[in-house]
Amino acid sequence: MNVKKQFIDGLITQNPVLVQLLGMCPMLAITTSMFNGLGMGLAVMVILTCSNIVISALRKIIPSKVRIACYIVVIAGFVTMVDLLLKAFVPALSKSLGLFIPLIVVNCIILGRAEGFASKNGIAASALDGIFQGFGNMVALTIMCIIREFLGAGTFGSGVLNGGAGYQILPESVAALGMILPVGGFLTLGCVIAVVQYFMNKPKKTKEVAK
Amino acid sequence: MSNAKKEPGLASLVIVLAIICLVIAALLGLVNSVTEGPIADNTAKTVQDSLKIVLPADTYDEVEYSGTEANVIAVYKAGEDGYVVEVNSPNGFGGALDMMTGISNDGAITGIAIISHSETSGLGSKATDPEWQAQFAGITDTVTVTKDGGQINAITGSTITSRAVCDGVNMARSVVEELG
Repeated sequence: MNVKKQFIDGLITQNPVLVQLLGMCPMLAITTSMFNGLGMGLAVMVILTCSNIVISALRKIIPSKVRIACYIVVIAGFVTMVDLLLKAFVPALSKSLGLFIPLIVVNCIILGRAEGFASKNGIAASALDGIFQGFGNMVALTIMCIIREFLGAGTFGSGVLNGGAGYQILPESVAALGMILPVGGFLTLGCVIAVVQYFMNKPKKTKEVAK
Repeated sequence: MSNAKKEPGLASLVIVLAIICLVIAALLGLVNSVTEGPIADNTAKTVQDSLKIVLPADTYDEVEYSGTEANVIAVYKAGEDGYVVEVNSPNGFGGALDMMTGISNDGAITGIAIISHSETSGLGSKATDPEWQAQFAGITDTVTVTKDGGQINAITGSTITSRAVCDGVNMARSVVEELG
């Protein structure tokens, strides 16, 4: 078990959103304010960690023929629990994310990690994988939120900082409304992925030139 | 991977899946029993808070409504001051808007509140902004957005949401007029 490698994998080299391109739907839909990004990131992280632990613990019991059905039952269970808990104790976040909490069930990050990692590795490693992949997802979501919120509404940290109002950096008349709309999501995501790919491929290229 | 293990029989497939389902269902039941109370409280609190915002009064009595308006959720009589009507305005950008409108005895709008909506975050969701909602107060006429020749400044980039809110307000007015 290599904790450091797992951490770097989750955050950068195997980042679920920016490199594996999993879970694009919530990524594009909810990344309009920092509150949403952090909330969604945390919810996914908790669910991913729990489902990874359970699926890893059951990996020798679950027959391979019905494994996807078993995974989905486990994942749906945890998602529903988180949904209910949010509704009960953090109603503001639950309102803001709306349908996207129940939709975590079909978020391919969770099933992807269950199938690709938890079903082949021990419980501790799977738990760490859940935390790190979830963290990588949260970081990516938050980066998207910061960019889109700044360009689209001209604010920083709305819903989190400055008592929930956020800081108005650009005047509202300058902000480009389109960045909050889905089209802005696609544009931002493309640019962020391009930047990540550029920096990830850079060292390799210099080595090749040196040869 | 499956080649390495011996193939389990059909019975064990069913049993394993059934046991997992049972355990998860039991856990969900447990979580539900814990969260049921707080969720109901939250919902009731949202309704009570909204009633206070749209038309402040000491008591709110729910009134039976059996008129022609199809999308009415509830009608409350706010003390002796007027009515608060909760309607489901169907034509929002992201679906129906659940909203309340307070109308005083002299026919003026006292305030509106959005209970729940699925409008675009950052655009249509600004319909919940009290500053925007304030322009409805005091109007005694049918409301429409300025684009349609009315008196309400639509939310930038969200004319559809603004129209849906106006529709909801107008529904509330017709309900109150029916009740007299």
